[in-house]
Amino acid sequence: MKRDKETFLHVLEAHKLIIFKISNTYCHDPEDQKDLVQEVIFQLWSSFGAYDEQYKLSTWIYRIALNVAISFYRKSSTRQKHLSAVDVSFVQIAQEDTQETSEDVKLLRHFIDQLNELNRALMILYLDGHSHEEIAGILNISKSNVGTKMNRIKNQLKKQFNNIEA
Amino acid sequence: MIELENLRTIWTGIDQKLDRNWKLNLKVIRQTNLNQVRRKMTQLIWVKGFTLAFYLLFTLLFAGFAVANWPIPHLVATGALFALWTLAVSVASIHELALVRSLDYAEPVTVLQKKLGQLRLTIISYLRLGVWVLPLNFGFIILFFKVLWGVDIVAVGDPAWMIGNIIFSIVVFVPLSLWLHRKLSPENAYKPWMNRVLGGNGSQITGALAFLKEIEKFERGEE
Repeated sequence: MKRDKETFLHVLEAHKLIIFKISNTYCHDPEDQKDLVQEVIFQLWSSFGAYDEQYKLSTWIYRIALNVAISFYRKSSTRQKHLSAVDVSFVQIAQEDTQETSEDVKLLRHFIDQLNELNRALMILYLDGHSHEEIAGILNISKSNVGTKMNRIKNQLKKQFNNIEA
Repeated sequence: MIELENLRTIWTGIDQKLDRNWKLNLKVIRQTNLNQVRRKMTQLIWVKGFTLAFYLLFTLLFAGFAVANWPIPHLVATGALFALWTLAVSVASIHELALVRSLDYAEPVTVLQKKLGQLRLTIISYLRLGVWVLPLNFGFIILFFKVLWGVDIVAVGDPAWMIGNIIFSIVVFVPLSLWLHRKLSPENAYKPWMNRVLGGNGSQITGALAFLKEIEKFERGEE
């Protein structure tokens, strides 16, 4: 695979949903979401030259996007707003029709928001259909640990929904 | 009742919504110089490299002072102690530089996040090393006179004054440095006095420490 900008743009276009999903999960403010997308793209380009083809492109993007999102999320209270010198945003976000958002989506978002940064990453990877082995590789934990955590999250989820129903 | 498996269906709905509402502006990306991160990283490595070179240079100068004044015990000891101190700072600086150079966002999440956390805590190592220059206060006087005027102050000075200074350093500054070394721990970063010492970055240190513990728990499967 070539490492030039055009190839990079093709890769970006093909995998943009991963970046959007992660930015949408770690940030709520649209300006923060745009900033995070921008930071992920800068970091992806910076690492593109060293991309190791033994990994799937999507796995490589998940790792970088999650790492940038967690760092961004942790420094968001102290960071300067809009760090980059780029005036025009890399992403356009259309106004979401909040009435369209179902109760289930709201509950899912509420549930994910309550998880810490690492469990949130685990949840995103699970919801995106990754196997325990793939999740373990992206997070660098054991496969059995992934299983244990998923069970724990499942129980938490049951408890929360029981509380709502009660 | 929603089961974990059912959440995937809801998640797919969110995906579709994002795909509809979020648009990547490829034209802007194409026109933008994307090398910002690389440039910032190169600058950071240069700054850390210069800092390391500065400390290594002083280590050599102090070691040279000790060698040049062989076999006068107090001059050799002064040079050697300062050389050891700058060497310790150099080692901390090498560790920091190695950490910066090893940062790779394509690494697994817990691996990179641990490195970033450790990097935020390096300032504590520098502060702790910094307090150990206090017991060397009399060494500064010896160096000052010898380097600037070529005078061996120990040979010409009042013995009572010198002994008083050395005793003062041992009795007051060594315990003070030890006390400060213990107090300047990441666990104290939330305290107002330490926050001031850290230039208002105390909360970042506290956050980094808490996150490192969180990562360890996460890796062990405790949380």
